Amino acid sequence: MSERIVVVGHGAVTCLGRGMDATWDGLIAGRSGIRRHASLPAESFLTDLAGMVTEFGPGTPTEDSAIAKLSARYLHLAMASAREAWADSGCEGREFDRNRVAVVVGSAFGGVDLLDAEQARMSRRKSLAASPYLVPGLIVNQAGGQIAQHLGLYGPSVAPANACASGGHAVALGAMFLRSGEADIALCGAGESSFTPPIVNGFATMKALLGRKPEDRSETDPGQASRPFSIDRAGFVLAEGSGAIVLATESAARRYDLHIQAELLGWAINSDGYHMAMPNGERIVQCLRTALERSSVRPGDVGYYNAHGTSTVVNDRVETQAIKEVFGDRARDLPLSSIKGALGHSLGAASAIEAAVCVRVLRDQILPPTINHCPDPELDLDYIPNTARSAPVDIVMSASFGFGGTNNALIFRRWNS
Amino acid sequence: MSSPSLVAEVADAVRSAAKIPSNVAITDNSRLIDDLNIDSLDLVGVLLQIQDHFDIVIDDDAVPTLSTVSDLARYVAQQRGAAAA
Repeated sequence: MSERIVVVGHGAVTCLGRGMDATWDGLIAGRSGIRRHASLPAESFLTDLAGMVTEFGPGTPTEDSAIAKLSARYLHLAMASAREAWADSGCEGREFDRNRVAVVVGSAFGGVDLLDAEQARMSRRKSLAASPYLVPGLIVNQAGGQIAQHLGLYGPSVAPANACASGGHAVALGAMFLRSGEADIALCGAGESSFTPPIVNGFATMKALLGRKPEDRSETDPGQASRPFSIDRAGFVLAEGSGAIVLATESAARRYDLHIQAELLGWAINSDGYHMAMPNGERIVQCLRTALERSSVRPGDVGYYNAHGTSTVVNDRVETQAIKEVFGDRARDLPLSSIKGALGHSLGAASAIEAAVCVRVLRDQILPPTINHCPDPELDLDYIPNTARSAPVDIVMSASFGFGGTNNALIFRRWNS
Repeated sequence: MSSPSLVAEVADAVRSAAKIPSNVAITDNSRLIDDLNIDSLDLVGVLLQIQDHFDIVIDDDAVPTLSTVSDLARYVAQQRGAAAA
């Protein structure tokens, strides 16, 4: 029998707060972190609605001086949640083999804000000389590189760049390193901040983002812009953020006397092989079923499903249909929610944040709501509308799907349940 | 010799570009590599910052002669003088 894989630390930085506690408190209170932002002016951006982490990052008093030369926000976000999760794990005070700690930290876009700023500087200067920090700050694997450098972790490192599934992929890949015997501990996560005109406007022109309409409820309350599974959902709201969890083999957790917070029962990753951006329900069903089978979990045993739930018309319909197919008669009894209603969609970071939130769900036995929810007759499941719910829950499932047709599902269990 | 205000301005640019902590003193005699621990990558960043800040171009051939803060300040003054001439 394979050794069990456990969660020993978690962290998140989101538009609801610069840490896991603030994020969790905001989610449970049903707050939204979505605002209109003056930093996204109409002459450059097709929308100013966003989930941004305020008073954070390069150039602010909270700047992480260890990585100050690299001013890409995704790096600072990834580093912050990694530091939080690592501190939460208690590893730092222990004697452990640093060569056997994997670092798996992804991102969809990496340091594109740095690229944008550097292009503007070069244009302004009429110079072809680019900053020596541009390439190091732009590459997607630099988040893991900086985390490894500053936390002193020397095991295998990879950086999944799988669009909106990157964070979940990171958790699964970290677990694979543990299961293969290549590492004892894996720091997994993702960071994202991609507020540049080409990317924001690219999502907007794809009609993936919520557009501006005079009658839209976000016009009077920006906090209602992201409304997964609602009848008037009309696109996602772009956000930035990061999430991280620390995995360990059960034997390593016991050897180093780490506090076990949950068990990662199983996972699945697959490909749609279908379309550059549209989801494929059949493959999503396959992914969810594979995760359940590998975890030896029956659909009826899942007590909470953390949805990808982007608030786009297509995703929320396809995901609902997939849940119905996988969970069958039990689908209507399955509490599920999308925290993207509160946090927006932080692309690669989203599923890492959602993994961290699943750990909190199991710890606190509280299910976060899907805020801004107005029922859609076509989508008739229990989306935990608007208000958090206390419930005994032993097993949770989190799923995410990315452009390029890439899916993952993670299944966590309450420890000692 | 460069004016004290120009040296201070260059020192600030060096500190900003290489993210040198405020508790590390930068004087006109500070050697970029030996005293301020600026590595080769940071040195490129410092030179770029100096070019941007003072709106000058640093010739590649001059780079080996720029080992201290005062060297940089002198070069900036020369370039500004040349531009004004």
